[in-house]
Amino acid sequence: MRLSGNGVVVTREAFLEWLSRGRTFVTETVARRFRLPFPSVPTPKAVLLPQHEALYRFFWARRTWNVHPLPPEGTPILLLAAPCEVKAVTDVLDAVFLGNAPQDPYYATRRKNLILGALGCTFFEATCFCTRVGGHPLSREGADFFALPLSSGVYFEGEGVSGRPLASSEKEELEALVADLEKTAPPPFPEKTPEYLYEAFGRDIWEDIAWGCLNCGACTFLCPTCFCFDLVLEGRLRGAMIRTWDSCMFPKFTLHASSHNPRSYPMQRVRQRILHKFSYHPLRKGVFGCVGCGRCVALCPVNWDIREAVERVVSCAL
Amino acid sequence: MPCEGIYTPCLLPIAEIVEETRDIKTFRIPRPEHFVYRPGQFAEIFVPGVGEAPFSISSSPTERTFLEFSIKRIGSVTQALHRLNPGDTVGLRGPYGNGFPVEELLGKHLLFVGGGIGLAPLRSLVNYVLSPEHRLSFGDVFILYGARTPQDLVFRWELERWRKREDLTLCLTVDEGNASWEGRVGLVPNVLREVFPFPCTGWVSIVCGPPIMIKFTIKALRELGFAPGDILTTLEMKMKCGLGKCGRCNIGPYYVCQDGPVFSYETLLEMPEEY
Amino acid sequence: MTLRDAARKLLEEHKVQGVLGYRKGSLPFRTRPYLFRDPCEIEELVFNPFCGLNLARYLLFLPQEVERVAIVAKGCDGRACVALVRENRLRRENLLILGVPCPGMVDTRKLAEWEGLKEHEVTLRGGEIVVRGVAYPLASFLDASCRRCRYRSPLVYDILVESGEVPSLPQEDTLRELRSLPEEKRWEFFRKELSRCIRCYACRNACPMCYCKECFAESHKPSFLHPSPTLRDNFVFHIGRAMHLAGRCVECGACERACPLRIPIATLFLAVSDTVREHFAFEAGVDVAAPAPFVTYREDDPNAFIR
Repeated sequence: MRLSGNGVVVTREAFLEWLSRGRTFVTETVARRFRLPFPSVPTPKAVLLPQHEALYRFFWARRTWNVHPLPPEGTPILLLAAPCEVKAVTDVLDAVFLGNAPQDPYYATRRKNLILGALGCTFFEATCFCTRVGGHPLSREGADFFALPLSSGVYFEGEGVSGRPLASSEKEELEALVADLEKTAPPPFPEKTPEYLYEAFGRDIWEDIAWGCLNCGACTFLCPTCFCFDLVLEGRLRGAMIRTWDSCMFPKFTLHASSHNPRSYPMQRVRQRILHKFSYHPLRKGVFGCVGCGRCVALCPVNWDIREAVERVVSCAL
Repeated sequence: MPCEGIYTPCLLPIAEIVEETRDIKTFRIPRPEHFVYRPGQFAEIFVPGVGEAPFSISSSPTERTFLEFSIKRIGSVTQALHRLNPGDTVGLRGPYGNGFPVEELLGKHLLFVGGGIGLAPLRSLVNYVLSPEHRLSFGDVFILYGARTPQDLVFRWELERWRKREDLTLCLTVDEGNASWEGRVGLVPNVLREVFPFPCTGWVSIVCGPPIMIKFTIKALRELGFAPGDILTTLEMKMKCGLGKCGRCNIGPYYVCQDGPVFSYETLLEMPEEY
Repeated sequence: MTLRDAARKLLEEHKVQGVLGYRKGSLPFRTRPYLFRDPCEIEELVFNPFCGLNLARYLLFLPQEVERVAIVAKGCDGRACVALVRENRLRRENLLILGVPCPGMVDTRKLAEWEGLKEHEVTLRGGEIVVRGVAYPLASFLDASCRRCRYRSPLVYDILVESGEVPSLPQEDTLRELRSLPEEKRWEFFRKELSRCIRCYACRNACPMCYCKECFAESHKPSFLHPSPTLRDNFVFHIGRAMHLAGRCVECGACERACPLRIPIATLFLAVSDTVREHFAFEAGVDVAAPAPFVTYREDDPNAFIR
């Protein structure tokens, strides 16, 4: 759902004042582009799925074991994110934690308490590729409100902020922006990409494609759609069951107790990451498991580029 | 919510422990009222102070008062479990998984092929089928079970009980016999070819065991004429949440904890070879 | 001979089965590691001030058919090669060190301050870096580990490439300021930085000297630390790694460049390297024959407890 053009224009000060009324955070993407006086989070999932949280406590007392679940908690916060990051929450995280029964109460509580706002993008960075995976820099989809900086103020679609209607010069500015984005948008991946990747599983190309990857967890930990976690018991006579972020890049991710490991080679884990995002998730849920935010490309220590990897595999199939 | 939260276990005392082999024990715990399950489903067993691990439920749901888990000592959680005694506390979280498609098996003849500890999930379905309330809903039952050596056969008392029944055929084999073993000696897939000469129309085969045994058994079943859709198996993957959330147990687009662990060979053929 | 000529010749004459070098990346001011196998690929071999990755990390991850490999080595990469040979991870005769004198690696974050900067708008000129027509002293743009580098040119090499004018920049004591702070302030510095760490292990995986099949951080039996990135566990990980690297760190700074959250993690390892230098007069990767202080047993060890 793109911007309707039926929004209002407010001054920058009014917009900032409105944002300052509650606890507001911005994502690192937004913080990098605009000087906003709010704390930033490196990735949007940090506010919905914390890096580590305790799910229940256990302890030995009065000659018996005790387990106390910790109640889900959430305080109302507002997160201002790029449209791709909003899409990550609605298309992937919600689908896994809310759409896949049973619902995760910890995620659900934080999600209910979250106001998710989209701050539109006026240009594509070298690392952006949202339009390749079905997103758009001006998309309002899934967001509780939409904002876009104009030369004369902030264009706003949503409730809670009153402003004036668009002037004709501002309408022109928006149209010019839409046209410019259309021209510079990276083209979508071929339609059957999930199927091509699926069929390419057993091919010889993966060793070559995966070479160079360090198999660290930088991309997965900062990725807004990566949700894999580990459940770790900490403590002996007293402690807690902790949920922490985990990564399919780590060698122990799929290590069985019998020491069998279906993904013991780095190449297998890289292949899993590509296929999970661009093949398995779309085949299951109908949307890509990647929103094209480009963090992984920007932050990879060796500039391993997932876009190139997908292109290479697809071109082998075609 | 049964146990106050989808990740929280219910604490239960161990009622009984049976030593099956030198490294396999069967644990019996009281069955909570809310715990309704199907054969082939699994649960997460929590050992306080140590951790959690998934195990298939080896008792049939027709047993109203208890749950049984047959557990091989392999890693830290199973090692800790094996050191527990009746009366000690464990936690239970579940049931999870898809279980066997019991409705689709009604009226069919069932060929169970098990290897080693693989008999544990099969036992849940076998006893379900053999129970008085369900026996007449299913056709003939043929059980082929093998282990590496006679000492590795599990559920020995159960095997005796089954052997005595007239409404099933039981065939045991070991890879290597010993002085006192008077039964058959041979690998399960080979023995299968020898003892199952029937036309396989109306039969469904359920296979469980070590990966290599499953692979060759399925090959033998295909030779005997079983269609891929009539071969069922259970797969193992490293699991943590059991709820399709932690992302760990996927084989291709299938989550073993939700779409499995029971899969037909037809589905297996569609999966990437990564298990 | 230029770098490309030397590399091409090595492949053409089958002296090596592969050349580990850098290639242009998919983003401005980035390069990526590549194993060149075919002489015609050498066209894409580059070496510029954005080649901060330590290629020696890949020496232990080569395909089986590559028996002998050439590696494009800056001073620090060369040290890593020597250190790996010293630790019996590599055979010296299977390694051909293609040394390149290094001008220092530019901290790409500094360049992010210019919006929309294109690659052709940045050039190096002697000891200066010219960004959009304005010249700045190069030293102010370099990574912390490069500003204090002692060995810009590899000490041990098989071929040393002439790369024209390489400025000899003064060696800065980048840790002086931190060392001058009182203990509470130093603690606060590390507490603040390490509390941001998310334990993605990019620093460890980029390090050429971290090659353990199972890292102590991922060990379950016994478990030394938890996966959760609490401050306590983060300290255990980084200080533990610093201890494991004492006497082995080659001060390349690849760890800090790899960190996605830009934590100045090299500070810790460089400080440990300075301590080893001061107390044991030892630097890793400088002399193949020199005994490393923490892995060498001597009957006449000065410390009684170990005799």
